[in-house]
Order: sequence, then structure tokens, then C-alpha cells
Amino acid sequence: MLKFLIKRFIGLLFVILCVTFLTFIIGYYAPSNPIQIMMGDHPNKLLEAQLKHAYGLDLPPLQQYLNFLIRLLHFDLGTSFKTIGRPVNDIIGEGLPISLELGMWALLIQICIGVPVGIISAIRANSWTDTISMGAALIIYALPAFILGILVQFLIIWLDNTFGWSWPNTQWGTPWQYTWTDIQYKLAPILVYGATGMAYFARLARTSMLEILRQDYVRTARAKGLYERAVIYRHAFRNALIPLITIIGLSVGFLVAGAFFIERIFSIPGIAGITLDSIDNLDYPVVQATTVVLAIGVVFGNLLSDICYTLVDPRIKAE
Amino acid sequence: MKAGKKLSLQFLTSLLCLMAVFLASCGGGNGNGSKAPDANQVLRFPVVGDINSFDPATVQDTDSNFPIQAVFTGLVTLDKDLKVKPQLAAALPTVSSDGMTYTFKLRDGLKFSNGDPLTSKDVVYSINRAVAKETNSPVSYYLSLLKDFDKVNSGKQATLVGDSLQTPDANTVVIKINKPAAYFLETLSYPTSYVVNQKIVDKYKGGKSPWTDHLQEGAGAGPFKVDNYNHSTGIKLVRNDNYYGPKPKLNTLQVVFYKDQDGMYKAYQAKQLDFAYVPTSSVGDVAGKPDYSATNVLTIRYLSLNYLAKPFDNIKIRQAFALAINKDTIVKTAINNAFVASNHIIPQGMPGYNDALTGPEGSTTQGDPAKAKQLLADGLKEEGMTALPPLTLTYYPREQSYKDAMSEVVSMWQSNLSVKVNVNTVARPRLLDLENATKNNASLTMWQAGWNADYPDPQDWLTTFFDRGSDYNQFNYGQNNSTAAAEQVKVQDELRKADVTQDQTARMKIYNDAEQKIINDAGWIPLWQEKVHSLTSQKVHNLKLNSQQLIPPDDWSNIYMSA
Repeated sequence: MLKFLIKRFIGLLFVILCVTFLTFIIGYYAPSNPIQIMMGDHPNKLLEAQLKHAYGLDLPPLQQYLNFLIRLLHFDLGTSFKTIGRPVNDIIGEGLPISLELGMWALLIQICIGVPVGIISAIRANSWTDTISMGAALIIYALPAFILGILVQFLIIWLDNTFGWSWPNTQWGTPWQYTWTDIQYKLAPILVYGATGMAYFARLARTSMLEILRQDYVRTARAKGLYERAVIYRHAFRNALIPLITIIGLSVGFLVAGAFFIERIFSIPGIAGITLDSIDNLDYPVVQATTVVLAIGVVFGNLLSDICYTLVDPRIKAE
Repeated sequence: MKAGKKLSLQFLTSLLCLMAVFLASCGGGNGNGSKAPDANQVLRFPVVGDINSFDPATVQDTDSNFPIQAVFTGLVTLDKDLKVKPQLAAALPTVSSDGMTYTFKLRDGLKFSNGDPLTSKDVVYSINRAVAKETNSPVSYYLSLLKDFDKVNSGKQATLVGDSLQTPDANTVVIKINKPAAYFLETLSYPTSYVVNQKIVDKYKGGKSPWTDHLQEGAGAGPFKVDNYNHSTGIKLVRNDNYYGPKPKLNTLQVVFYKDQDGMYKAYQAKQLDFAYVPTSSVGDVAGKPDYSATNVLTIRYLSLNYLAKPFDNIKIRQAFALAINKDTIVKTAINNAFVASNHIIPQGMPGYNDALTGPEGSTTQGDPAKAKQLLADGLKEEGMTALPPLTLTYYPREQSYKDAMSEVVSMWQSNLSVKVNVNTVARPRLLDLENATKNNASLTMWQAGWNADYPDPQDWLTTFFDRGSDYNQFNYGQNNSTAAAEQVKVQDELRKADVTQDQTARMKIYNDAEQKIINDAGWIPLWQEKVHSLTSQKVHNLKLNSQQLIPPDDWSNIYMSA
């Protein structure tokens, strides 16, 4: 197991190196200039050269990339171009907990509701329960997150104006705090993010379970007279979980990256929104930093998924 | 199974109907009444954030400027009509006879929000700081009129203090400039010359976080002081009881951060905000409502034709292209009437706006297709041409409405002049690169751009863009071989004269005359002036943005919330 983890850690370093290099190359050769954005529409070659020098953008590309890597080794992600002089570490440090919170609650909803709904649908395949739950899941899944988000925002506006409520439809509240005000801020985006993924999990769980229920060993278990509950939970359910675990593991990795639309629509100051803003503003230090964070997330998600495999299926060894 | 499907369909139909009712019912009203108690004097105002800068020396955008204008002030600021008004200065300065030395007397008893005394030394420290090389301000050029600006900005000279910035006593500031400039006070109204508390700046120099993260310690002298600055959610500003002017009625100004105007608009509808900008696409939904208002802003969108590129070295062909465009139609169909069609270089709301100005050949914003056709024919004849060379219009499609507008322009040229113009869309920084590169050559033929006033003076529009040698004169006005070049040089001389004329009435008259000549020459083809559309809760009283989308410091004393 230790050897496996070391291997994965080396793999992580390689992934980060590749991702940062590609991001750097794209940024460097993009037909845009962050200093010009900083200066507005004012052409001033002298000032532009001065600012390029101040931000190290006049150095040869390889030198710029090496400087970034050296800073990264010191856990220093540089300073932002857009929010002038602000350490990128601070920007990431403020956005990441919010995105993690949003992603964690959404994933919990996705798993805790989506998987049981899928399993029940599979057990009661072709019943009205199955039709309704899978029909609803299909509609939610087919609806892009931003459409569902906007619909929910309209609904909140209507409720506020009709009943005189003051339920917010944007912003996030205080991260990881759950006063009534915080819950009001957080509920809608979490539910929307949760719903879109939940539908996916429900459909996946149903398909996986149906496939297992058709296996010979399930038929054998039934033939030898086991209770249906034992057949379902002891024999079928655990095996149906294997493909789900892969998806859950990967979902953990994409928890943060997956919230781009939700964060933008609900004006949530999380890292996904920060990433989009930094791309819009050619704020390369922030783009680089968010890319590193997202890459680490995805690699750890994969790792988690592999470890969970070994727990669910003893035939698979962590090697 | 069939029954299940039926039930599912019924359920879905009901859900959709419910949604439709929800959507149709969106809207609401606001109450009105007497002044709310002090604890409820809280205004929630949105900006796009996190703001780029809370440092007056480096601020470049409107969103950052809003909280900066509430927390910091300078020697002079602009009032609601964009007139220069003394602020920290007790009165407008005395100006030397050569127009190059300005002497300001400060008000008595000035204090920063933490109670520290504010003297002339703080004023010159702040201005020098904005110019100094180590500040790396992307907007230091606002102070480029200061004597020896270049030396200090490039690091060749240590400081302007004692040189062009002098403090004969604690209450007097003397500023020397490098040439007579009647618009100097307007440039000084920009935040680069606003006063910051050196004690706070020095305390956090080289620290882990910038000094602007510690503004609650009292770094400004404006009507509000910072209570809390959260980079994710916003800035809580509270009344500054040490403010020298009339104090705000508001107890708290909550500056709330949103990613974009859509977010603000939705938050306002859910009563999370007391004010919101309306996205251009939604203006039609709210226009006419009691909480709606629109303000002209100092932004003009225009077309540039390069005087060094064939066929635009011919005045008649340039005029033909200008007159072939019906700007009213473009604004109505592509812009949804969110902006105003314009023939002006100097926008409405600016000092020096000329109400009597017309388009080329006395035309209106509707253009004149028949005359355009005739002018094109005459121009081609003069040039000995039978057809125009291939033409390309380059622009940055900031939003869909811009794309629609440029499609209409091209279509009008096609239908009114039988000229096919290709379109090349590029990213904004790329357009800036191309524009800069076309100075003194014909690399870019025609392009669409925009300009937003740096400070409210015609010099910022006319001399900046049309003077010889100006970095902004990328279309080569006056620096070309066209038949109109001699006349253009005369206009440039007029502009230089106006820049130093101290009599404001005479000065504006010169600018008005020059503007009309430039428009007749199709030096620019202005398309429209932008507006901001906003919603203000009816609980908020007397909140009015000026044309720079700002609230002058003393105007806060009129704004209050009703119960």
C-alpha cells in the first residue's frame, strides 16, 4: 500500500508539472496582454515596459516558468495582476473553503438521495415508482445546471415578492457556518448543484443494480431460498457499488471544478468563480494557482477511488 | 406501467404550470415613508468585486473607484455636474500668471478617519507616492502634467517633494506643472492624487498583506471609513465622524461584491440590495417602473477610419461612409434603445458638450443615404478609382448587441453604398495592439472602439485623440497626405490653444469649433453614447450617480433610507 501511495504521489507531481506547463504555455502565447488590461485603453509604451518588468513578464518564458515553480515549492503562488498586489495564496485561501463546502454538501445529497433512488428504481423496475423517479431524474439531468439555477432564482424572487420574505438568491454567507441566515444563502445553490448530480447518480445506480440483479449468482441466491432483502443488500448491492465508487471518487476530485456554473449564477465567491474571473482578466498567477488546486483535487479523487475499490472488492489489490 | 406514465405526465404538467405562474408573477413594489432610525440607515450597494484595487494610487476601474471615493478625498473633487470643487482645499487654488504654479490652502483642522491630523505633507506624500516608480501605478499618467513627472516615474529622480510638490507650511500645498494646462484641476480630481495616511502605508510596507487590507485603521479622510473589508463578500463602510464636510446620513454603506450585473439585478429583485445596475438585455423589462432610472455616462463608441489607408485619405469617401449609417436604427434594433445615438465626440453631460453640433454635411444621427452615395461617387472620381479596394472592419465584440450593431453598420454600407466590408472580430487586448501598431502606417484600415472620459474636460477627448504625435491618434489625423491634412493641422493648433486658454467660455468655444470640424472631416464616426440603467429601492432617497457613476463626497449627506 505504501509503495502504491508513493507511486501515486510521484504521479501527482508529474500531473501538476504537466498541467502548470500547459497552462503557462497557453497563457504566454495567448494573443493578449494582462498589462494592457491593467492600463485600460491607454497606450503608453514606457509604462507598459515598466509594469512588465515589475511583474516579471519581460523575462524569457522558461525563466518565468521556472520562477513560478520555485515559488510553488515555497508554497508562494505570487501576486495577482487583477487585484493589484494581493497574494494569490490569500485569494485561493478564501475561495477554496467555499467551493469545498458547496461541493461537499452537493455530493452528500447526490449520494445519499441519488443512489437509494436508483437502487429502489432498479428493485422496482418498470413500476410507477421507477417511471416517476427515473422520469424526474432524466428531466433534471437533461436540464443544464444554469437553467435550473436561474429557475430557482426566479422562484425565490417570486416568493420574496409574494410573501414578503427576504430569502436571498445570490451570495453565500459565512463559510462553514450554519446560522439561519447562512442556511438561507446556502440552501438553493446546494440543492441545485445536488439535484443535477443526484439525477446522474440515480440513473447510474439503477443501471448498475439492474445489471447485477440479472447475474447468475443473484439467481442462485434466490434459488437457494434466501430472503429477498438478503439477496439485495448482501449480494447485489455491494457489487453494484463498484462502478459507483469510481464515479464518486472522481466526483470528489471534480467537487470544486464542477461548480463553475453554480458559482457564477449564484454569485458565490468560490474558487470556480475565481478561476473564470481570472481567465477573463488574464490574471495568469491566479489561473496557474487554481489550475494546480483543481489538478490536485482530481488526482486525489482518483486515488480515493482506487483505494475504495480495494475496500469494496477484495479481488483488487492496491498495487 | 401505463398508469405510471400518465401520473408522471400529469405531475410534470402541473409543475410546469406552477413554474409559469411563478415566472409571470415576478415583480413587486417598494414602500415609502419617513426617515428610518439611525441603526437602519444602511444602504446596500453592489459593485463587481473583489475590487481590483482599494489604493487610490492604482485605481483604474469604476467598480474600485466607488468605495475609494467614499473613503478617500483629494484637494479637489467633482460635483454631481462634474464641475471641479474644492474638497480638502478650502477654495480653488490661486494660479500663477504663467499658469504653471497652483497654490492650495487646506481647510483648517483636517483629520484622517482615525483622528490623525491631515496636513500639506500628507497631500504631497500621497501625490508623490502615486507617481513613484516603486508604486507601479498603471494610472500614474493622470499626474503626468506635474513638473519632473517622467524623472520620478522612471526612477531617475527620487521624489517630487520639494521639487514640483512643495509645502511652505502645514496648510499650504504648491504644485508646479510642466506646461500651462487649463484642465489641470480636472486631472487632479482623479483618485491618483487622493490623500492616504502615510503611517498606515508604511506600517504594512513589505508585509504579508497589502496596506489596503488594513484600512479600518484609518487611512482615508472621506465621508466613510472602512469597518470591514472581506475580499469575498464586500466592504462595510461606516460614517466617518472626523469627516470635515457635511456628514453622511447613512450609518452604514455596505458595498456588496457580485460577479456581474446579472447577479446584482437578480439580488435586487430578491431584495438583497437597495440599488442595482440593469443588464442591457433587461432594460426593456424595467424601463418606466418607479424605481428605474438611466444616466448618460461619458462613453462614446465610434468608428475610426485610417487616414493613411486607401480610400480613407479622401474626405468625400470618409463622409460617405459616415452618412450611410442610420445610427437611430442601430440603437433601436441592435442596442434595444439602451444607449443614445450620437454624432458627438464630447459626450452629453461633459463640460463642453455642444448641443448644436451636427454630423458631416449638417446631417442628423439618421445619416443621409442619398448624399452618401453621391459623395462616394465623387470621391471615387477624384481618386480615379472605379471600385474600392477590399475593406475590413476590425472590432472587439464585447457583447452580442455590439455584434448586431456592427452587422447592421456593414449591411447599411452594403445597401446604401453597394460596398462590401468584411468583418474581423478580435479580443480586446489584440485590438489595442493593432490600434497602437497602426500609428503612422496603414496596417489597420477601419475599426470600432470606445472611449470613456478620464476626467471631465474636452481636452481628454479632442487633444488626446486628434493632436499631432499623440499616442491615441492612431488613425493619423493631421499626419497624412490627404487634401484635408492642412485643415487638420489648423484644428490641431486650435486644440493646443484651447488647452492653455484660462477663460473657460472662450476655451469651450474653441473646442466646440474644433469638434465640429473634426466631425465634418469624419475624423471619428461616433455611433452612440452609453447609458447606465439602474434600479433604486424606493426606500432610498436622493441617491443620484453622476455621469462617472459616482457619488460626490458631500452628496452623501443628502442620501438617507426611509422606514
